[in-house]
Parts: sequence; C-alpha cells; structure tokens
Amino acid sequence: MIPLDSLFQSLGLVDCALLKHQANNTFTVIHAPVGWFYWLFPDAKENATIQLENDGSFIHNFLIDAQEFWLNESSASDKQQIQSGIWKETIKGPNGQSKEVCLECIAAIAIEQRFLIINNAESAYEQKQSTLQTARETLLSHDKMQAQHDILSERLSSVIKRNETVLDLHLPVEQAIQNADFGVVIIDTSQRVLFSNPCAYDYFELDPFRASVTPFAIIKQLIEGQYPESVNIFQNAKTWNGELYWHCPPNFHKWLQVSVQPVRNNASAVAHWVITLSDTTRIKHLLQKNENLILNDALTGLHNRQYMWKFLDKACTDSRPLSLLFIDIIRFKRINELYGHASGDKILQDVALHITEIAPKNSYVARIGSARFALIIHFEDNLSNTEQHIIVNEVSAKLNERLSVPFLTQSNAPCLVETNTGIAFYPQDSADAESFVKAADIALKGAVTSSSKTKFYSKAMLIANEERLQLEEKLKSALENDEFRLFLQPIIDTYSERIVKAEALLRWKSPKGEDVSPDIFIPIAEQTGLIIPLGNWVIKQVCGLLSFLKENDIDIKLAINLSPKQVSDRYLFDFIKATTTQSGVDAKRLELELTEGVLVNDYEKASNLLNSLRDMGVSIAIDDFGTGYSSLSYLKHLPIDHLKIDRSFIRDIDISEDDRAIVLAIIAMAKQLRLSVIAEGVETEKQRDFLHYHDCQSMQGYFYSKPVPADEFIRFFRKHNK
Amino acid sequence: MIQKKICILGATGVGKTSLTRQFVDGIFSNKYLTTIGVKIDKKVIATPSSDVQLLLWDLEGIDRYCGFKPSYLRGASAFIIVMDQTRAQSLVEGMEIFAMAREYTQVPAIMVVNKIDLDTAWHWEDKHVLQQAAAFESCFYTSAKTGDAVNELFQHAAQLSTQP
Repeated sequence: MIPLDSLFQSLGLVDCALLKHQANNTFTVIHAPVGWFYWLFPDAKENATIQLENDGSFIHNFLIDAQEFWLNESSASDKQQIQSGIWKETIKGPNGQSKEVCLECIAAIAIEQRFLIINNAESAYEQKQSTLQTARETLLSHDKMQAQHDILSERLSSVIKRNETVLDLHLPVEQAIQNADFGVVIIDTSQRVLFSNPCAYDYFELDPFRASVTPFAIIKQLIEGQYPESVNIFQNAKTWNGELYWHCPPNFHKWLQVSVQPVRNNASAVAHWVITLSDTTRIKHLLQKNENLILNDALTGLHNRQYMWKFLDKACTDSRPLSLLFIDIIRFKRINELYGHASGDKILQDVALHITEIAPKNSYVARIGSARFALIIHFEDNLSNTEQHIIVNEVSAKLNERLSVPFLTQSNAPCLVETNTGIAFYPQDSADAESFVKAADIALKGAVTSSSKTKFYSKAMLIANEERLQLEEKLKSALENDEFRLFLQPIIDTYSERIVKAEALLRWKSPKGEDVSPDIFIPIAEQTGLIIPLGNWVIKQVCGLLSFLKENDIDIKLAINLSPKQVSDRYLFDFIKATTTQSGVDAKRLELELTEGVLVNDYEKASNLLNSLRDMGVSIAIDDFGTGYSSLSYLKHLPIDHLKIDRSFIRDIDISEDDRAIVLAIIAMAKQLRLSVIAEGVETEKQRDFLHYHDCQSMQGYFYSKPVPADEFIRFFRKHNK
Repeated sequence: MIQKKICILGATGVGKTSLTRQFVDGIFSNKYLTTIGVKIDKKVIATPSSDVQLLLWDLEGIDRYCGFKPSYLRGASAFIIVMDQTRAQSLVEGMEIFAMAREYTQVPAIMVVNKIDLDTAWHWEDKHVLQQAAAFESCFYTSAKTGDAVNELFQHAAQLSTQP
C-alpha cells in the first residue's frame, strides 16, 4: 500500500490528483479530488485505469515530456520530478457549467514507480502573478525611458549638426535645451565644455555659478572609473551609451543613463560631442526592489517579507480566516559574533526547515527579518475560534519543542537558540493586513517583555502598547518641560566608610505628579532615540552638579550611565569634551558606566570612545557586571577602571552559595586585572560585612542611602564624611 | 471537427492576451495584467474548407523572468509573434523569439504589429518593420482595443493551419 499522505506531503501537494503510470498513456487513478479532476476526466474512477487521449490538450503535450523522463531512468535518478509549468483553461462540468482552472502537471518517480500528478496551482498562479505584475510594469517603463533618452540624444545631435557651431543654435532650440528636464553637455574636439544646461548641473548637485568642477569632468571621471575599457570613446568618434552610478557621500547618489554622441560637420569630421543624461535612479530602484519581490529569501528559500504583505493583503481582502505567528530568534547577533556568520546562516536555514516541517497544511512560512520568521496558517471556514486556538497552540508547542533542541554550528558545536513567538488571528484580532501584522507584532513585543516565550495578542496588550505610545509622546515633551531631575546615590569606600563618589540617576515626575520608573522610560528613550538628547541633558546637568558640589567643598566624582545608543552616537565624545570645558569641570571627576553588552555589540566603536575618554581623564566602570556576555579579553584590552557587581548577585549573598561564589570570583578576577570592584544594591549589614571581609573596595545601596536630590545628598555627605 | 493549435508569442506587454480576448470574447481592458504560464482558449471558426476549432495557446511574455519554452510549440499548426508599435524594443525581442521558434518548428508564422490605435514609438520605422515582416508568412497591423484586423488575423491563422 502506498503511504499517500506522506507521499503528498513530501511532494508539497495539497489539492491534487495522483495517477500511477501503467503503460503509454494508461494510468491508474490513485487519488483524485472531487470537482475539477472529474470535470476534466468524466469517466475516471478512483483505483480504475484511464486512458489519456491525444486530444491536443496541455496535459497530453506534457505527457510526451513525462514519457521521456520516465523512460530515461539514468537522468531520473538525478532528478525525481519534472514540472509542466502552470496553465490556465476553462473546463466544462457535467451539467454544462464552466469554470476556469489553473493547473500544473508533475511527472515523478517515487517508491520506484512512475506517477503523474495534476496539481491545482491557483495559489501558485496568484503568487507569481502578483509579484511579476509590478516587475513587468517597471520593466516596461524602463524600456520607454531608455527609448526616450535615445531619441532625445539623436534629435539633439541632428539639430546641432544643422548649425555651423554650437553658438549658432537658434534661440528657440537653445531655450528648449536650457529648460530640458534631461542633462545636456556639449564639448568640442579638445574636450572644452561649450555648453552645459542647468539640468546637467542639477544632476550633480552643482551650482552653475559657483561650481569648481563641471558636469563633464564628473562624467569623464565616472566613465574612466566604471568603464575603464571605454576611456577612449572621444578618440574613436563613435556613439557610446552607458549607465553611470554617481555617489557623493553622504547624501547624494544617482543612476544616470548617459549617451555620448559625435556630431560631424559637412566634411564628416567630428566637430562636437553631445552628451545627454537622464536620471534613471527611480527605475533602477524599482527594478532592484522587484528583483527582491520575485526572489524568495535567498538564504532560506522561504518567501520574503514583501510576499508576506502581498499574501496577507489578498487573504484579508478575501476574508480568509488566518493566524499569523511571528517567530523571533533572541539575540541572534550574538550567535553570529560567537560562532561566525557562516554558522549563523546555517542555523537560520535549520530554523527555517524546522518551521516548514511543523507548519500545517495550508500554511505559508516567510523570513521577514534577519532573525524573524512569519508562519501564516489558513483555517477552514467552518472552524470555531476555539478550534483555531487549539491548532495554533499545538503548532506553537511543537515549534518551541523543536527549536529548544540545540542546533549545530558549522563546526558541529551545539548552539542553543531561544525564540519568542507572537500570535494573532484574523479576523478576530484585526480588520486588515496592516492591523493583523501590527497585532502579531504587539504579541511578539509582549513575549519579549514577559517570562512566557509565546504570547497571543489580546486587547489588553493593545491597550498596554497604546499606553506605551502615549508615554513615548509624553517623554518627548518631558525634556522641553523640564520634568527630569537628577538624584545622587553615594558610593562608599569599604575601608574608610567615607563617600568617595556618587552615581547620578535620572528621575522623571510627570506633570500629573506620578513618578515614572527609569526601568520603564529608559528603554523607551533608547528605542525611540530620545536617549541622545536625554543623555546629553544628563551630562550637562552632571557637569553643573560637579561645579555646585565643588562650591560646597565636596570634591568627589560623579558617575553617569551611558546607554548603547549613546555609545553609538559619534558626537558623544565631542559633546562630553565641550561640556566639561564649558562648565570648567575637571574631566577626572567624571565617571562613565557602560554595560557589558555595549562593549560586545560594537567593540571597535566602544574601544575608540573609551580610549579617547581615558586620554581626557574620564574613568570607566562596567555596570551590571556578571549579567551579560562576559568576555575577559575586553577587560584586558579596554581602559576600564571599575567593575560594578550587579545587585542580583548581592541580594541573595547571605543565602545563595552560587551568588557568593560568583561575587568572590569577580573580586578575585578584578584583583588580577587591577580593577577595583563596586558592589551595587547593598541593603543589609550582613552583605556589607561579607563584601568588606572579601576586599570589595566600594559599595552602593540602600544600606547607606537611597538616591536623593542634590541638596539632600550634600546634607548626607556632610553628616557621613565629617 | 478539426482542431488546430496556434501559439501566440511575444515580449512582455505587447498585447497577446488582449488580442486573444478580443477574438474569443470580444472584450478589451486597458489594464495590463501579466499572464503566467499558458492560457488556453478555444474558438470554432469557419474556413473555406471546414469548421476548425482553434486551440489558442497564449504564452507568458518572454523576458528576464520567463524564458522561451520550445515544448509549448509542440503540435502547433501555426504561431503568431506579436510586437507593440509603441515600443521599438518589442520588435527586436519579437525577432529574437521568432528565431528561437524557427529553430524548433517550421510551421507558418504570422507577424502582428499591435496597438495601432496608439502613436508609434519614436524609433519605430515602417521600412525596418517591413524588412522584418519578410521572414513571416504574413503580417497584420492590429488593435486589440478597437478590434481592428483581429478577426482577420485569426481567420488567416486558421487557414494557414489547415493548409496541407
């Protein structure tokens, strides 16, 4: 007995007929769907033989190729199937009714037997048509533009040819060229520029009255660089056509269609050269975009993001019940960094394969981001919401199970992959493709911030998301409205018990008087980029505070936290330097705290920044040490002064042997590397005593003081350090 | 009834499907909708000798996204190469397709210059078109939009296909 289901699945077929080849054009119908197949072959019966007549049909035409494929066993061993390509035709039903079908034939060899599969290719047809439609429309407009460019060049040459010299051009002709929306440059045989119209200057962002370089000089340089084989075009008196790419960092780049045409005088000698330019950037861009549309994701072979959008647009228009799962690999960048990009790619391919294998019938898988996949499940119309949830729950559980097994890198090293999944349903959760994608995205965000790896979209999530968006808006105006304050938390020297420095901590009180936790607003500021102006505000304030403390005879360091985005900001160093200079603050009294992740994510940038800061005299502390990716090599190579042990290790130091071991290891390692250690979150005497006993140099925490406003800090300082 | 297969080929967007649709259903749409694979239509047509059922194989436009598939020409009694007079490049591409088809079959071929309701492309030269047309059994100037010469084209194709 042939295992039909597995055979169909392995061939990726859903609505199809399977015929077993017997001889010549005789087949046994193994399986056939009700409907179109029996319209095509009214006499067919399952498990009975049929004769496919030579009726000039598409199927018969394909059978000739199929017979050849089946007969040629040696080639068949290399290739398990051949396909006919899609065809569309109108077929008639038993009662004279007609309908249009899109079908595709496959000749296959499986289980050492020959099969003919006739597949309903309607959805493949739609997919292909929707992608190729735009691509071909763009191709056609490109053709038209090219033709327009060619004719303009030719006509211009003939106009110039009719005039003795370029300077004799009739006024209307000259005016027309001056106002043309394509570039025109005319040079003589010595390559002296006789004429360049305003558009030619515009293309290269040049001011005709002030430019020190001519459009011709740029064109010539581009030809020399991009068509080295064509450098002699002005010597051989022939027309030259080409496409040039002009790039003027950081803002401008263009694709230009360029024609260089010789204009001959009456004696057939070259008198001038006419160069015409058309801007083809947009068409080039569209073509490239369409290439992407047509191609699936090159790495995994799955559909891509554009496909997902098109599919969802269509499916939502057709009101098909769907579920959308966004599957995101957490910290994929780190996998690339640890194991290399080749291993990262291999893992992505393996993840894609697992998702595809688990995906139920009638579902589509797409890779929609560097480490994000979409699984779209299409449900039968008669399924209830509960049944849909059960199916998706099962799929999601299978996914989590499958993806939790270690993947193998290129060198066969095991690598664990963690994923988050956000799930939404259409039409229950959304009205159209856009809100559907948004719902899945919100669910995914929910999974990222919760302990659960998988989250279903809910109205509550939407509300939370909207609140977050509102908070974003409030955050934008908070800086302008002066709603932020800096609090200081003292850092105590373990041996002298004196305050040696303080950490500046940002606090936000909204206009309604509510305190918004930094744990909430800092990540939002980081994601929205507001962290840059906010961080700069902190730097300015801290410099002001340092001056203020000095005026109060308090000469200590203040530490500021830097976020990853701030470290990536190329103006950060200049800003710190300018601010300390302007406020007259000694940079040695400034300390910057960075997390390990910042260093690992962009080591080179962080290294340059830290070295420049060190030259200025600023000291550096690694914040939350022990919680992130710890690489000892950066500790050795970067100008780091202190390690701040994360509060999570200090909290249970009394009861957890593991935490004690970690803290002791950090202290020992820091000693070896000649770094000082600051313990964060010290809240009890026991914790203080333990740290003191084990030579932790500094401590910070509620045991000494919570973060307090500057004036309160001054009072505390005077009392504590007297 | 005799059945004859006629293949309709050409570059993208020249109007192959529009010509077929005009002939089979008498309908024209200004909206360009790309064909995927093959679209097969049937129409019975009377010729001086007998009625013929034409099997019209309207093939996907040949371009960078779709290559030439000679097996589709198998069993054809004639083929039509469609060009678009508003796009000079379609003449060049049409001639390339013609050359490829000729390598595979020697059945009669008809050249069709379509979209005559629109202005010709700047580069379109009648003299050059006539030179190219000489390689074909016949040449028709059609408009799928107005229906100009469309019936005549397929009538002629039917006659050619039934010639011994």
